[in-house]
Amino acid sequence: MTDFIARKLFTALVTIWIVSMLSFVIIQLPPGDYVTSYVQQLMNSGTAVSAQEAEALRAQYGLDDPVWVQYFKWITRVLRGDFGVSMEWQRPVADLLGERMLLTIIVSLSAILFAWAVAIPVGIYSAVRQYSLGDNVFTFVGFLGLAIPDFLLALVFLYFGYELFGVHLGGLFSPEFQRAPWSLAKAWDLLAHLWLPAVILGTSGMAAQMRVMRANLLDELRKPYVVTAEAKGLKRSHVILKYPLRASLNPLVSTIGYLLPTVVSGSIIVSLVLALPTVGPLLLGALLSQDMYLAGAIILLLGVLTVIGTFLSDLLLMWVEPRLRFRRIA
Amino acid sequence: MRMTKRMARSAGLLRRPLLAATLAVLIGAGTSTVAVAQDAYIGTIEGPSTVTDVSAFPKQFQQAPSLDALVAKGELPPLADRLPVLEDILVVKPLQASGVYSSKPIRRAFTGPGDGAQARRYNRDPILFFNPDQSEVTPNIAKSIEGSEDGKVWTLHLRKGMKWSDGHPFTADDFVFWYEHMVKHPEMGKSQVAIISIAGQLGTVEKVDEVTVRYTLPQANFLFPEALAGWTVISSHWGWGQAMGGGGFAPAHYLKQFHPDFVEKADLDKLVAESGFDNWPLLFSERNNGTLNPDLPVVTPWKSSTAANQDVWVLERNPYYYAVDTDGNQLPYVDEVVNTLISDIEAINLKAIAGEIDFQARHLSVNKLPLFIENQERGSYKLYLDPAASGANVMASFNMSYDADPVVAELIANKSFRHALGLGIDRDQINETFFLGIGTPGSIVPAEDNAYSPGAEYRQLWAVTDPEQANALLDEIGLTSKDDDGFRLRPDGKRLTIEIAAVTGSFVDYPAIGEMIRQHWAKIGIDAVVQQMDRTLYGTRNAANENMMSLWDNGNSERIYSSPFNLFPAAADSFMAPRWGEWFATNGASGVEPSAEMKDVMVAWRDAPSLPNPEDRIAVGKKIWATMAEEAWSIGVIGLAPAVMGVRVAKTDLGNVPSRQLNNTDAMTPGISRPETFFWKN
Repeated sequence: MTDFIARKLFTALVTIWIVSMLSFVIIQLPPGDYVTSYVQQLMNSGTAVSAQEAEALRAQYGLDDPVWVQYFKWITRVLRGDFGVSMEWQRPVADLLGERMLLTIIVSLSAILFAWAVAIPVGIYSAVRQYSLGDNVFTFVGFLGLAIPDFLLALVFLYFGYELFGVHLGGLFSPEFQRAPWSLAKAWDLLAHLWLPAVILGTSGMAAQMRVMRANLLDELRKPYVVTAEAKGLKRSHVILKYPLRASLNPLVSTIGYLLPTVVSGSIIVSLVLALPTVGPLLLGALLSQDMYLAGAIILLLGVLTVIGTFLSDLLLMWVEPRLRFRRIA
Repeated sequence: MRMTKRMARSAGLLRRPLLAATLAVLIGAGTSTVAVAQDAYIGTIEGPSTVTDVSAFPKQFQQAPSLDALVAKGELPPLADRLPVLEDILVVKPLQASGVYSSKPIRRAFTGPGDGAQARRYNRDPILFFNPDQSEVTPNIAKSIEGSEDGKVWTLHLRKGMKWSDGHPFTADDFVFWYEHMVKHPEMGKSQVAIISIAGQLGTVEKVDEVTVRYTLPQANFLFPEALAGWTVISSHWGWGQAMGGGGFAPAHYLKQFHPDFVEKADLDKLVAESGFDNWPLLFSERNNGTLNPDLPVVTPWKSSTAANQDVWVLERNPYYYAVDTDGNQLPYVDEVVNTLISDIEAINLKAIAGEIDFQARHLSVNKLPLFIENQERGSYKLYLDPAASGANVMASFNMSYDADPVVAELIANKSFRHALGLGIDRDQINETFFLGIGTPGSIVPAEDNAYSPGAEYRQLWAVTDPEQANALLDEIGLTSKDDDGFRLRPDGKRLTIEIAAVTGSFVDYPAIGEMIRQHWAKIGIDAVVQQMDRTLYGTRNAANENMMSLWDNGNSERIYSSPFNLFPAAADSFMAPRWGEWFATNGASGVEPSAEMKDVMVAWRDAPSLPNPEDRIAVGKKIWATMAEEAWSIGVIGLAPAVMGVRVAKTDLGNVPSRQLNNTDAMTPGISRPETFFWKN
């Protein structure tokens, strides 16, 4: 067991290192650099920057060094826990991310919880009552959920929010709490706003998981051990919840690893539309302006999240799936 | 329904065309056709004025109630000690009435730290100011300016007793510090600024006494006061501090702690290390950026209390602001301006339509006019249109120094070819589709009431729709053979293809307009491709001289002598002809020598400011515009439209809001309307 964990940890570290290099190089690939984008932005607001000034700026940011020198400078700082100062935001990257990370995690978790809270019971119902009216309705709704892009759903909500209540539903806080320090009232205000992004972001995941849950459970329900258990007179609900359900949760558990990064990066457009102060829009902006330090840090973080998530789902899987556990140790 | 369809087609304005289109369809779904009665929304240019007669000054002065407590507690000196001496106070006559103080903030939206212009335009500190129609230069930070007879020496008179927002005296030292220690410092990266230094000859900025600054220029410039009032590197600290030490002046007493001329290297290195920046110029630039650094002393009506790199960027009242209204109330009237970060432009538009934005023009899109009009009552705001006076909100500029393909380069150099392409564009269709019919089709010359307008007839010169003449011109220059698809062949037998570079994410939807132009040109047998690209990619390609033609606007070019960048290729990064621009910027040391006609324009433009007589300058300006229309280096498409920051919403209970304000970069609209005079009526 320890051996297994140690091996996993080692591959995780190597993966993270490779991710750090790849992310830095990939950000460098598009033509131009932060200074090009900054100069263009200044020009757009009527401020001309001469070629010498641009060169001087490039030297100040160290963008005239070769890529590997820039990477080395960056990664040695990262190892010391210093992610540098974002070029565009002119603020330490750690500050920027710290602030938004918490909200991102809250939004993501609530979306995941929403998805699971709906998907698992509905999936069970649909499998047990296959082809019933309820199953057909849920299947229909499920496919709709899969098919509708989440940003469109966000727009629909915004539209009805305005048409019916005359308010703009975006954001995570009411204006009066936006600048206030954390308090119970502010947390309550956050909860009052959270349902919308949670529902929107959760919907497509929910629909997919509902279908997965249904299919898995159907597979399990037909297996002889279920028939045996029922034949022995066990209560049906007990049979289903105790054995087939547990087995059919495997695929859900093993995808937790991908859940974290998908929710962070997959929510970019929804976050933009709903004006959520999360990491997604920050990443998009950083990539557009070629803000190396910020983009690098976020991508590295996503890599780390994926690795941690995969690691966690490996452990979880061993917990819910005894067969796996014993095979490993043997 | 017609409107809905049109909007869906034209809403590709933003980075995510699909998203924008969807929103437009969604919102537009319930609306019937809304006729855009433009006249109802375009008022007359008006704004506040400055009282210069000291005998008419108020004698009693009042401050905002929010400051009373601070003064009572002794945390802030009394008002009389914060304002300049009586005769040096700036007295502003508001547009409609003296307002009342309010702690209800003005709500606005911005898209991120790169959108500092949102408050650079709202909160201003130019050395001099303009009257509402920009026909005169008026006092602001400086109470007056006088020039020598030869136009080379300019003396600026500051306000005695004026203070920075931290209470420190504002003096001539702040101008000298800026020039000697910021502009001239080699590591800051500026080394010289245009206007004060011309063609490598350095001018000087000197302190005569505490409140008198003297500029000595290497060349006569009778337009120097306009440069101090407009949007130039020497005119405004709040506006230009961020751009590597521009600004014209800076708070020396505060910035010295970050400058190696004044502190020990070791101490500075320590500060730099603590800040996380790589070197001191980066730290200095950040500290000198008023939108990012709330500690920076400023002389604007408001100062940042949270920075533009936060989710909410708040500007709070500057208790030392040196201006009062005619009743002696210290400005501004409103305690706070709250800018909320909304990265998505569609979301900003939606917020404005919902009435959750109090005053804004930036980021509001012209193709949503029907929505803005329809929801006025419900959102309790009023819509205003501020059309620009520049000739082109869209123009197709040839890269006159294009050299990647000699055959195409030769065609671009041929005036008849340029004329033919100009005649091949159906401007009315573009105007209807993208500007809801409120733009003006035609060449790139400025509005007819502009002093430099060469005459009404130039609007149509080579800028009407005439495919027949276009075909005739193309045949005439030998592009007669066509391929099976009906496209004209080049002399070497290949199909002639014009590449149109269109930048995404601008206020105007260049890529979609480019597609429409492509369809128009197909009808005269010219094949075109639209290269939709991000701004950064565009800049890189442009620097490499790879763009064949660009879609752009010529904003502010109606102020012909203000800045050449939208007028002719004036720098190596010009979108009109990078190599010619390099030639101009380096005085012919490098780059490619322009055509004789272009050289005439460049020389005439460069020498005009040294003409003492305004009539002579106007004559030169008219001639330049006449040449530009005739040469068609840039094909004008649609102009004089409110497409760029010209769609404005203001809450109905906001006072002193002009029915129309001048819309150009020098006016820093809405800066020219002095937002510090806006107030809540209830």
